[in-house]
Amino acid sequence: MKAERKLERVEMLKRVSVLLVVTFFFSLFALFLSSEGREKAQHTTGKEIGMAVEFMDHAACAYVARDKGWFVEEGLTLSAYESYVTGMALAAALARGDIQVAYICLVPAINAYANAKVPLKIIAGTHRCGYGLVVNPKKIKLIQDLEKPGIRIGCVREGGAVDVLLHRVIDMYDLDEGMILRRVKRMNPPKQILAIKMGQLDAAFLPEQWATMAEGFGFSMLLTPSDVWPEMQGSVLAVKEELIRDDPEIARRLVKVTQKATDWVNERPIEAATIMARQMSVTGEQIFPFKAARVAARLEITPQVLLRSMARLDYTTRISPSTVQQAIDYIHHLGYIKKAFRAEDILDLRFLR
Amino acid sequence: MPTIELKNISNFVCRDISVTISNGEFLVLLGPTGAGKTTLLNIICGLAPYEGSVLFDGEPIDTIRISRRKIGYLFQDLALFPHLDVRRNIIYGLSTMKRGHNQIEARLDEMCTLLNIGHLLGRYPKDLSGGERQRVALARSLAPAPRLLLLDEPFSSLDIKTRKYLRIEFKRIVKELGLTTIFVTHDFKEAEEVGDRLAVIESGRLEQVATPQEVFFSPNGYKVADFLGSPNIFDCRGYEVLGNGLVKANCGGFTIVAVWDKEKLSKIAISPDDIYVSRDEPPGPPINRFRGTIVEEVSHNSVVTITIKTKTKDILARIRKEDFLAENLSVGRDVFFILPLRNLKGA
Amino acid sequence: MNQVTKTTRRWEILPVAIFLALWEVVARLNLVPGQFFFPPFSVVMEEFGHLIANGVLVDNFLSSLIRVLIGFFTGSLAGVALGICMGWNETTNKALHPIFSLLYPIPALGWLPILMLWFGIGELLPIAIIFICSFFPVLYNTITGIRAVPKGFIRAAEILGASRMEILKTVLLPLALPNIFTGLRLEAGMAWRVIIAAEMVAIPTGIGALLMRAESLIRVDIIIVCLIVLSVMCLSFEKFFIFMEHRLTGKWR
Repeated sequence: MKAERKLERVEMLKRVSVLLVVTFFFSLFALFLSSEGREKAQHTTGKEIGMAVEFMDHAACAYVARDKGWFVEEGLTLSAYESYVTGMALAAALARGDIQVAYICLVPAINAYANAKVPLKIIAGTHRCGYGLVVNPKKIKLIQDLEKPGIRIGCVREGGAVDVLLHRVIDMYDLDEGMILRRVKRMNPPKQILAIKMGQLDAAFLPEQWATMAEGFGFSMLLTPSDVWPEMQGSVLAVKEELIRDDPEIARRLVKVTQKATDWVNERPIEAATIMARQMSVTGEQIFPFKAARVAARLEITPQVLLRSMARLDYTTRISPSTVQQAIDYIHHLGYIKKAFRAEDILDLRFLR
Repeated sequence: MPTIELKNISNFVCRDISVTISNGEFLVLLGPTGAGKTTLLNIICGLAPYEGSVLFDGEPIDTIRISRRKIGYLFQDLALFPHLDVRRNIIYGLSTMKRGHNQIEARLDEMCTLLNIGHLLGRYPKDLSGGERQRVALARSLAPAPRLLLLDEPFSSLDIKTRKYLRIEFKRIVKELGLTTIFVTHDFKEAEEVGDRLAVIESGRLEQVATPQEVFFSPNGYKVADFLGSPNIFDCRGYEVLGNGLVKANCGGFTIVAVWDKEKLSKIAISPDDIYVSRDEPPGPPINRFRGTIVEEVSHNSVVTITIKTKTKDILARIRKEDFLAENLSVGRDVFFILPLRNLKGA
Repeated sequence: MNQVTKTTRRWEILPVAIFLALWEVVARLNLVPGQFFFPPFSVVMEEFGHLIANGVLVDNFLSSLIRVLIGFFTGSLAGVALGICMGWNETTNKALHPIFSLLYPIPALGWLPILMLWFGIGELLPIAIIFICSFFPVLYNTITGIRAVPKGFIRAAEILGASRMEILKTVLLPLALPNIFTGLRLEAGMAWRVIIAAEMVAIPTGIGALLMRAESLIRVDIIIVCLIVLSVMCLSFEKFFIFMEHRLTGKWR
């Protein structure tokens, strides 16, 4: 018996030793990764920044500023410039540390801040509204028709701005939440367009320009944020805190360029639409690897579509802390963030003023 | 029990085999590996294709399904069902015959008593010893009361002592039941011990069917003799009773002392493996001790077969190679050889 | 449980306990590189409790469980039934083997696009994927099991008067069980891995859907909860089949 116990002790010591060795190597690996991350961050401070935008006309100011070379003019070198189809994907990129500057919808920015603890600050707005509910007019004439049997609804995944709009519609129109949510097919906007084209959806909550594109397939706009949430903040300009801390001048210049581009978009919408169509056509081929979506991206994002879409957005860098607080409180109410916080914690509007 | 008749049985192994096995007879199929012994058993069961006919009491059974032939078969590897305990293995054949519960239990008790395996019923084959497995397998074969029992080298995987005990035990049991039995072996000693008659098969042909004594003393052709190890056979002319069961006989020019208690002694035989050979005069009493000269040596694996020339007869002896070399034997050498008393067979 | 077993069990839990403790310490002290948001184990457990209390985890888990059970059960049953036919009957095997050998290499998830087109996005889709995932391995393990039964046992049974059906029922199937259980055990865990992936494609309920929702909201704690549930279910299913195999075949193997 004693001999058995001794053997067990020896065996246990061996196991603990193995664990310690593994932990040691794992720690080395983690340290290596950490130093790589720091190096990457160091490499991109100074005047070089990684930027990401949403593949939508929400980021019109960014597309225009880049096309006009205004970032470079202000001495801002983009080490990376990436497009994301959804705000959630962009938020994940922000969380990963790939980028320091993002033109992103407010809702995913809040999620990244609260859930992933991404240390970011919103330094300016880019637009208000810019989302909509498009429907097949033959099947849906009123919001309440969404409750009719067999209705198929498309929407992005939880955490997106249009998802929040969906919940807002359910609340404001007192719809059966469970029933509606059971009918919702979660997919990104290009897939929803494809589904609409193939007759697999009867309604879709979409951000612009996708909502306007859906109109090209016989759908009609039934509802916009102004119906349920006037002054709904659309996208914002968000930057990592370390960027402001290390070089606030970059933040100031970013806001300046954004302001300039926003004014330009409002003054020259047709030219802005042309620039965006060109840029998105190039980007679309890069970020949609599959043929079907490439077709959707290439053929239907025309300057005409963008122009019509842009008319539904209110391009402005002004951002209201109370609107942001409303959004934070509502997202908390939906359970997307564990704890509500003050809008002032995420806002840094000194560069705007 | 029926009389079994095999008529002109032929297939890819067997060539025109015909033999009749009497009711209650214990026939041994003897032959080297690959001779066709197991194939013949499979033919009788219906497990192998063949031409010719198998008759039970004159009725051909060639078209009867395997499961309906009522034959017991003890395979070489026993084929005890590993997933069934001993009890369910034994009653398997009775269950398939849809016998009633009481009938099954009664028959099970009989088998347990007959083979002394009552204490093994709850065990599984993996928990049994070699000998226990043999007995359980036999019980399983006997339980459905077959008309014929086939045993295919059932003891080949056992040690010598257990093998010897079991073959005697098995013969006793089948004789008690009056069961016609065909037993396959490649070992003549085993065949001799248990068989009423031997059927010697070589290369698919039936070479000889006779009693063990007849086969040993009068092998039918060189193939049979070769298989038996080419025993040295001495024709005897008269003998003198010495007392204590011993006789002194004049056989083939040799004066041989043998154990013999019957009236007539016409032949004495001894296997070449049983002859003791040495260069120098061996110690001990000068009984059955003779001299000769080695005229031929044939080496085969670890054994050397030597032919010893004497005045009257050439004697075949088989000794281990290491002994052959140790004794420094070779062709031309004069040697002593002893015919041990206990290894002499008389007829 | 005797002392030796108790001690052995304690020793087996210790590495897990050390791992969890390390996790807690590393996460609390923020030792993980900044870009990897890594909640401590205690936070994950807290969220686990919260998700159970509000019914979200239970509802989604039950959705996944029902799909797995239906798909796995029907797929395995079909696999065993067809496996018996193909293992037992050479004609059936020769007829079906060429077709199945072409279909078998396709990974279960590879069927997703075509099944989405045929069935749309509904309950049938994940069940169909699980069915395919379970069917082929169980089929081939059954065939192997049936064929691996030594011919001697079949001959012995035949000579003892058993009909073909009786041989199948009393000899082939029981002796093929170990192989069949191997297939079931392997696929039980795989079914869970596959259902998660299937549910991640636009299906609104299930652990996979919950995982995707958590990903959208960058709720790493919920993601880890889902992964823990997945791990526990894979393990539980595998253990269940190990237990059943031992129960049915342990005495004689």
